[in-house]
Amino acid sequence: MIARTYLVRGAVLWLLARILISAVMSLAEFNPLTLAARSSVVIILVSTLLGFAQTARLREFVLLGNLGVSRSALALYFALPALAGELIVSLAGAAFA
Amino acid sequence: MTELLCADCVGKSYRGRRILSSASLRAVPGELRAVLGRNGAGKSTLLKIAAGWVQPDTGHVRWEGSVLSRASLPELARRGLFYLPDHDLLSDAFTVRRQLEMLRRRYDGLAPEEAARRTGVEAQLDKRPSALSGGELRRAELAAVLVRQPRCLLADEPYRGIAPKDAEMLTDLFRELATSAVAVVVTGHEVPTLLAAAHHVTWCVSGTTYELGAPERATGDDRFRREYLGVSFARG
Repeated sequence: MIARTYLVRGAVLWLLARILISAVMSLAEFNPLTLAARSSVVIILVSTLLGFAQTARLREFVLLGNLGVSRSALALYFALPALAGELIVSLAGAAFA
Repeated sequence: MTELLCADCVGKSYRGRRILSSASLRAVPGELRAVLGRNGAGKSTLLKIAAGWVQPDTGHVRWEGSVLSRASLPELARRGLFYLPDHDLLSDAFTVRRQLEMLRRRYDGLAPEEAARRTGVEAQLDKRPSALSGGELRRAELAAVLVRQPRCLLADEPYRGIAPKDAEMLTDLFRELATSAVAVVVTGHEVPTLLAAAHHVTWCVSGTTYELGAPERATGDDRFRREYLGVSFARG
């Protein structure tokens, strides 16, 4: 239940970050589906940081601590959906290229 | 006296200001321990260090006699600790029921409905914490403690800002936990309430702690009366 909750939050934050970055790239006339691997890593890091910022904003760290969730586990919950999303996007980009 | 958790001779400074120099805190199964001291004496910092929430500059934390290098709250929580901060235990992103359910599933604890019934927050289960009054929120946090069924509870100023009726319930619950072999440590300024409830008093002053023993013995300590309880308390 805890993992699902934070994986979903991670997925939503990645989606928001991806939409924003894709919009900026489209405006700059770049294809947002064909990002360099390095840029995907940056998006994953940004999504993870957004997850931590959101958790801090909601003051959930003590609750998570009491639930036995470490910071590294939390980082994984935020990074995994972003990683999966970036993989899907790069596969889609390769298919449409 | 077999302590379950011990923050031993810990020191902590923030931005060059020494908060604790050599303070100790012990949590003993079956005992309700009160940590008393003035504002800024370092009670909350000591509790946070014992809970693994803050790392000490010096000293260490032991759990069941084993020294933990860089004890963390998640690690201690998995061993049976529950840390009740002075505010913001429950997140406003979820309903109370959902958070209690997370605890129940994680630790195979008491049913949220049963915990809510015992703390009188059944009607608040499907609300978010921001929709609760101060007293209701405290009781919802206590429901979280009941769901968790911890071996050790560290509660930071749990009586702050709550009505006497809620304070009474809080005291009953802490005593009940202690009776069932939970190690309970509570900080606060509600001296009569804490002295009436506690089995043991620890005085936090000038960055260090003094184990004053049972409340009757503590109130008989000249320095404690003079410097903390006050003259009127001493006369009473």
